[in-house]
Amino acid sequence: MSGLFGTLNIAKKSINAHQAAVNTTSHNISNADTEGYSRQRVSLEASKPITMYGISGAMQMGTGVDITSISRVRDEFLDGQIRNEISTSEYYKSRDEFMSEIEAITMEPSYDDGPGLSVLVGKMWDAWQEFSKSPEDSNTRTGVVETTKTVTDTMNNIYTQLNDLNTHSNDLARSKVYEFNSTIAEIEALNKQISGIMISGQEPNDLLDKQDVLIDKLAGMMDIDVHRDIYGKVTIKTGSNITIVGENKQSLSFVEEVASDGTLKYSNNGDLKDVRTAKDKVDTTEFNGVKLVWVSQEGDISKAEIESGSIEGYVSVTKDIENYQNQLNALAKAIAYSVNMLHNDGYKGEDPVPEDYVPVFVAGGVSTDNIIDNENAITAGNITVNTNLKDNLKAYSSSDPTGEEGNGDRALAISMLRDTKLDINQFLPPAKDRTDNSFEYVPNSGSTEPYCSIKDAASGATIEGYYRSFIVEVGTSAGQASSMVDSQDALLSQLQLRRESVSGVSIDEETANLIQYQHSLNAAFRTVSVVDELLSAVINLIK
Amino acid sequence: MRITNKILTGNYLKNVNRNLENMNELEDQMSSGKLIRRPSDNPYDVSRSMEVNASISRNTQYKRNIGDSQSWVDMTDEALSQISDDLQRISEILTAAANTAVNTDEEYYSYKTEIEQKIKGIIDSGNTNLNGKYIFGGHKTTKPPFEAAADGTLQYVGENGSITADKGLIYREISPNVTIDINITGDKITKNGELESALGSVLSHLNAENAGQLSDDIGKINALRDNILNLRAEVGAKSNRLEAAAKNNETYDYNMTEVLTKIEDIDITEKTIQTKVAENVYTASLMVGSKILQPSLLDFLR
Repeated sequence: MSGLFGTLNIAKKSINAHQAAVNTTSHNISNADTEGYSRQRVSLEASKPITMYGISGAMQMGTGVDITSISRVRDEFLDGQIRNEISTSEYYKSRDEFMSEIEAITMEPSYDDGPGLSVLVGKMWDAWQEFSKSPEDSNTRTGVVETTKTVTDTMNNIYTQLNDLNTHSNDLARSKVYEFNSTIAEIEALNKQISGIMISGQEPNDLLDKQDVLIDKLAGMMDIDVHRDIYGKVTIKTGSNITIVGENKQSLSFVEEVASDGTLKYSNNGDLKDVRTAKDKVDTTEFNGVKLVWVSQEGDISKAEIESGSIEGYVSVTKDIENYQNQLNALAKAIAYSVNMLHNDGYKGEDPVPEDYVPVFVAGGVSTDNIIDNENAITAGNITVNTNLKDNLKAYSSSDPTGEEGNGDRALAISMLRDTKLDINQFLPPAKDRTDNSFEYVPNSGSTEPYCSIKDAASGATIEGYYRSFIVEVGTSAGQASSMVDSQDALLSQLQLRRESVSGVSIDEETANLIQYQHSLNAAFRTVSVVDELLSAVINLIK
Repeated sequence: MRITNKILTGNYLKNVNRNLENMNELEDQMSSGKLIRRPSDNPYDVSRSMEVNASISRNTQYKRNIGDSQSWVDMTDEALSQISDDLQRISEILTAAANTAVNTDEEYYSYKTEIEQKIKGIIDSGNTNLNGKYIFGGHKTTKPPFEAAADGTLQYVGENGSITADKGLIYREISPNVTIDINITGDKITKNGELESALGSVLSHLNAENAGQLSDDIGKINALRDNILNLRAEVGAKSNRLEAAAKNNETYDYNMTEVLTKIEDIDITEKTIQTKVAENVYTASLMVGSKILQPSLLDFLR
């Protein structure tokens, strides 16, 4: 059916369609800076023609324009790539945050009088040298006590700061787990809305954008695979194939405690106010040091193995810090045991303790029945100098044939520990008792060795050397984290650039479109007024 | 490629930021004068720098040890030379006394007085101290090792020295794991008491005015003087060893400082130029930004 009303109808459809287009353009421009927004396009289509029968046969006559859809411009493949890179990037970002702090704590490299432990330990050995040179002089005793105290204070300080960082990264990991689960809840809520709309055949562009932003956020916390079905519902699995959004999903929880009998306590969904006890006991060796677990809907617990993302980043930092603390503990024990050993004629913890036993290093704030239990409890966190040390410092060995005030042989021997290679790793966990594994004492032998000493261990390192390799380890980890952050940033920004290129709003383009639609609208209005004139002409025919 | 406004601003910000970071890094290096400031800057260089710094500081301690030892040894040599002079004089007096067939009582008296003075001199030299430490007493460094005996001679009350039994010897570390014993114990000077007995017999023979037996004493005193000369040779050898150690120490210090400089110090010229370049790049990027970020199609529509 044609005729003037048909033409008027075509113009009306054109006005509708172009108004929708202007509306969408305006929506695009408004959201030019909205995070995760994808530009939307109105798809227009010529309406179904009508068949007209004329003298020369049937012909098709156009009936104007229809809007087929308003859809977002998005490359789902790019999304997948970006999500992969986000998890790696976030993993190193969270590590970098802490590693750079850890290396700052060490205060290395310290120059000249710097506050770094390596310099201070050197000064301590120097003080022992001075003591050996003038043992009768009380200044040199003070020197030994003070420099040693500085070393232990610095060690305590580094250790405590590492403790604080450990607590901090633990807390962050837990709150990330909480955020992870609440993000999942939001995604699930959107799933319902989206599928409800899509079933009715419409495209919920803005909800999809919103959900994609949340999925990107989730990808920052863990490596995930996303699958969207035809009704717009997403199913999300982790890299190790655990479903976190979808049927039979498991939720991530943060382990608070694994008791020695295998009772595992976890804060459900990372919520510290909701600590639950696992229904089954776990294997303590398997769950040793495990921070993250999957909890199924039935309450079954399994170890979460995550490769990247910020949660794993923070968890890996806590593990690194524990490793660093173990190394510092080993170092503290090595210094304490070796110096105490030389200071007490090779005594290494046998029962009973000699009456004249004077330790140089003790564990501060640890009260035990006897001095050896106390010494065995030494860590980098509590190592300190014996309070009675100054008056009891022994410059010479009691096994020396003549003990005289000017004899500094033992102090000299202690200062020479600086170059002695000690098997420091034997004090790394699981370290055995000190009596089982310690250093080999060489007593004075007169002509060949005028002073006692500790034998070089075959695969040992000097105290300073051990600390240096510790610093190298910290530095390498920190350097790796920060360079990975840089390179991931570059990669990610390339991908995001491509996404922006596909989905981003270009003001120029929208303005051009706007002008185009404006002209179309003007033309359509014009058509209406022409038809109007024609109609009034027709109506005026009737007199 | 389709370029949107967000791409332009995003890229621009990223680049400006990178330029700033660059500049910050360079300015950090310029102001600290060091290439490495944290372990992650270059872990191996940092470790090396720590190692070299430690050896330099340790070397300074050795230098101090060597210096102290040198003054100790010089002092020892000085005192031994005094003792040797005193013995020389005693020997001369005895020769004069022995060569004359008959000495008067006054002559004997004056010989005896002078010898007694010389013995006091030997005691004083033997009680030489360095910063309050008696250098000949072995490990007994706080009490004078030589005393005047009741019969007018001297007596060693310090500690006897012996390498094999590790007695009385004072050790100093002069380079890693190298120690040197720097002292001479008084019993070496008296040759295990021979000096006491020789001087005792000298005094008693003078008292007895027995010129004949004095010539025996001359031999003994001369032998003891030779002993002192031997000790001085020993001290001289130690002094040489210390001198060599001091030289090594100095060379080592010089070399290590140079190594350290190469590892951690910046090349001022290079860094100054790099900083200037970075500044220029930064200013340029700001200028470009003000040009490209401004216009959009909207600016050209009425």
